[in-house]
Amino acid sequence: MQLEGTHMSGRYDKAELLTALWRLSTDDERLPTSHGILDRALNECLDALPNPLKEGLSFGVTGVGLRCFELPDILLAAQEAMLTSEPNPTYLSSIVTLDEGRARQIAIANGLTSAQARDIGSRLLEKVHQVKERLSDQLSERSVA
Amino acid sequence: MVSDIRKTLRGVAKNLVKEVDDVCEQWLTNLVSKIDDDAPLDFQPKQVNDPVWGTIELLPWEVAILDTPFMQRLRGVRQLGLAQLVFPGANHGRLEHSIGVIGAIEEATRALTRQIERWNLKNPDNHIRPVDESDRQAVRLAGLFHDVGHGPFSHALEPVLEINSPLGSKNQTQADWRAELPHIRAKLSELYSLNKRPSSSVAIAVMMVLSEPVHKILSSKVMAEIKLNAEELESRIVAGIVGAVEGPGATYLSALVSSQLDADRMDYLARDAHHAGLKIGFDTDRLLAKLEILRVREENLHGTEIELRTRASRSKEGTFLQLGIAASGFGSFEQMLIGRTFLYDRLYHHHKVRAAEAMAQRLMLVAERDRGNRLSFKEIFLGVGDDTMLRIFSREVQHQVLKTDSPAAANLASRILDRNLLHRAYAFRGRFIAMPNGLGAKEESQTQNEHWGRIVKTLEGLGNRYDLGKEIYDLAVRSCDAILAEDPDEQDIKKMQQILKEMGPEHVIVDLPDSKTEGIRLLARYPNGALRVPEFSFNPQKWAEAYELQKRTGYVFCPKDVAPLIGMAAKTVFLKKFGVVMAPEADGYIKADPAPEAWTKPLIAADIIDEQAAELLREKRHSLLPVRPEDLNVPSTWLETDPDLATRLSVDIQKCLHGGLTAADMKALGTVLNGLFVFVDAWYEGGRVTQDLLSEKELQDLLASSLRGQAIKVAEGTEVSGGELDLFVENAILIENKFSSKPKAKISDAPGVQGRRYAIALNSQVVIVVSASRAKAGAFKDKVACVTACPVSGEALNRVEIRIDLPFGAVVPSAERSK
Repeated sequence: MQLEGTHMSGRYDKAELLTALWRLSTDDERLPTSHGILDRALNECLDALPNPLKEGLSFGVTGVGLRCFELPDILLAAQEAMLTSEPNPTYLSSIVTLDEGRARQIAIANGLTSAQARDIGSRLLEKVHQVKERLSDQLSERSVA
Repeated sequence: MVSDIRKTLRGVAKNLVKEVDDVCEQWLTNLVSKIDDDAPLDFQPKQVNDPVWGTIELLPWEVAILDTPFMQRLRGVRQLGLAQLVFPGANHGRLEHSIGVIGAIEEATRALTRQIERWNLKNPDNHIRPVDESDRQAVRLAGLFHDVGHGPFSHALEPVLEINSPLGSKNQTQADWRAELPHIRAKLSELYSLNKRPSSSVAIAVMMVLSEPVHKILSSKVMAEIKLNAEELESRIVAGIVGAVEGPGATYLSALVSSQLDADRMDYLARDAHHAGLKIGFDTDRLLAKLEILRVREENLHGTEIELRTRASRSKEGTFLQLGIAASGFGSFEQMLIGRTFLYDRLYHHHKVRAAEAMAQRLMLVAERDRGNRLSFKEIFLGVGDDTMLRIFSREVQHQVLKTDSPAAANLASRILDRNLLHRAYAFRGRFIAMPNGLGAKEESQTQNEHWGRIVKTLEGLGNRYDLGKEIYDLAVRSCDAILAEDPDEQDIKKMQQILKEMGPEHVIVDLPDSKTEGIRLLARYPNGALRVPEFSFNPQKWAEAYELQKRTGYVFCPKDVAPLIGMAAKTVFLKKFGVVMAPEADGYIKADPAPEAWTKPLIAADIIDEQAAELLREKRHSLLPVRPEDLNVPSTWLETDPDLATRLSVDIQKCLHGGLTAADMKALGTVLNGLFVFVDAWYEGGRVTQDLLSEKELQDLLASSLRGQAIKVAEGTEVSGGELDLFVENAILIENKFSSKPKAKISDAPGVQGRRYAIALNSQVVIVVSASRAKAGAFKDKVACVTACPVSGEALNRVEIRIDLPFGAVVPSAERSK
């Protein structure tokens, strides 16, 4: 059997919180899932993230640049738990299928008010936009969909 | 730095070091003795025939290491765990694979050498250093050693190693070496730039390479032909095993041992498919031909690779080398990833393979639980093959090191040896979750997703799965008793009762296959010379994840003879814990007969399930609805004061209900709460807060009148539960009234239904308590703070108490002053 190690514990909780923050701060913007965009954004606003999300996250420069080592597991958990769509045709981003009511429930269950969650999500979104902007000279429109 | 690796890593895990040194010493004693005795070492190169790579030449020092128990024990560790029980040809061991990896490395280094020669011819002023003998020897050794950290049953062991408190036994002693494994993994991540975190078996392999006996061998004349000293060799091997990008001993060749396009993968994919007899093609030749050593410089890096640009700028001559792929090799790379997905689906995740792997994991945890302490390192790395390990656990064979006397573990082991595997009694999948009629497509899919999310989250970890299996087992036992109480001559049930008694909860296994994931961690060279992460218009990795998730089905496994009973219990437990009922489609995945309808009546009679739950499970066959903020009809004026009120209440209610409510009860709850919010508004706005209230009767009259005035159906209490002062509203919800003439923080709880033994009861899931108490002088709660939700007192069942605390008789500030 070739399973590549076991998954990080608590990945579903992190997936829930990440997608809830995203849903509360965006309308229908897709969650970036490749090219290290979300990895870098998470790293840059780590201090603002709630503890249940940021605990256990680690970052490093891999062979393809800075990545969060736990993010693939978290994004897979989000997909397993049907919090995000199956890959869209570009496979570079995902639709957060979680609705706002459920997102608020997740925020509250994690000790945040929905206003706090929205604020944190906005900071993450802002960082994502900044990272995308930094990369936009090089990335084609297709790749940042 | 290179020489520090061994010291540093051994320094953070003293217990593990001792354990590893001890087992390695035992395995390598003959070779080490020869070295110590300065005996002649006459190891010759060997050629072995291999079904994947043809003839593989083994170098003398590799033969020296191979011909020791250190490596030979891998012969008995099957590469595919217990898959041979389903695919009889899949019997190959990790030794064969380890030799195969050397074959793959050899092919890859040849291909890279050709590529370097071509580059150097074209770029006489800009040479790439050729792969020299030391490089080749070191990377081959890393390939040879890369799997030595595997214990019995291969990857199936890893979750067992990592679980903290197996099966919840209180009498466990945690061996210190286990606690040190995460330290090693963390330290490796600190010392190296990695593409992924090392697994437990990788950490153990590293510590074996750094063990005292291996160090002695690597320092000895056995390695005389290798130009690297022992420390350099160790760091190269470690860097290869962990797939280091940067760090002590890391070179671009490290990626040949562990990366997304490594010799390990090239070998096991082809080998596993070959031995399993599956016709899945991998274009390994083209992949090898398209492997490249990329000269990574700031100017040829795509702009997205910010950190790599920084690394290039601080590298010697602004360049570092990294293993990558030419864009023209994407097709073969995609083919590899897709082929791998089919292997997972057909081979690794075959339901019988899963049952066998889950049984192997379970038997080790049960053995640990029953003897009161964890398996030691020596017991896990006993050096015997998987079959012998099973025979020891089955108590067919005795071993002086591994002592186990657990009957449950023995039974599970015997079952695996006899291929008497557990059967599927219940199947669950996200898309099988049945929804009630009348929901819109979006609401239906969101509810389905929410239920599924709760299931996968609960099933994270072997401990949780054991607990759920035990709950199913316990319910099956109770169900047997109930059916026999009704009909003592029911022979089938008598037989099942006996089997259940003999097998215990250990033989009920809830399993949901792990998905695998990895981001793309590979740089590609595009035709224009730019280096970047491959951008696939069709990303096979993402496709593979979607494919797996579509087919991801969980099962409850148990012995075949009790499958109908366990299946029925599983359905009930899933309704209780998650509120889900699977659609009839799920039954198609189960070979066992469904539970006869005649079993339902005794369960109702024994208060195991109620009529409503039985109806939902059998006739209606749909799931409950989780409580959402919008279901509670909290007035917008209240939400202006507390925007999170509805959400908070819904979270608290849902926490108590577990699964949720039936569609009819959800509708009734919304209606009743709407009526109550109107009543509370009138209470506060109509001056009731400062007026006196004489009795509970007066409170009930006011409430009943208000609800009736809103066209809500209200029945007086005596009709339902004997009390005078209860209301039964909308034929679904009990409202109990409480009164205190003195200020109280909380009036007594609503009574639970005494003596309830229900596994699941859907009748009266919601109890509303309207309590009025004299307000304390000075302050009373704002109306938005008067509504709360909590579990019904004394019950761990799926019932919730929604409480509305109303103040009365508050002294107005002017009156207070005049006192």
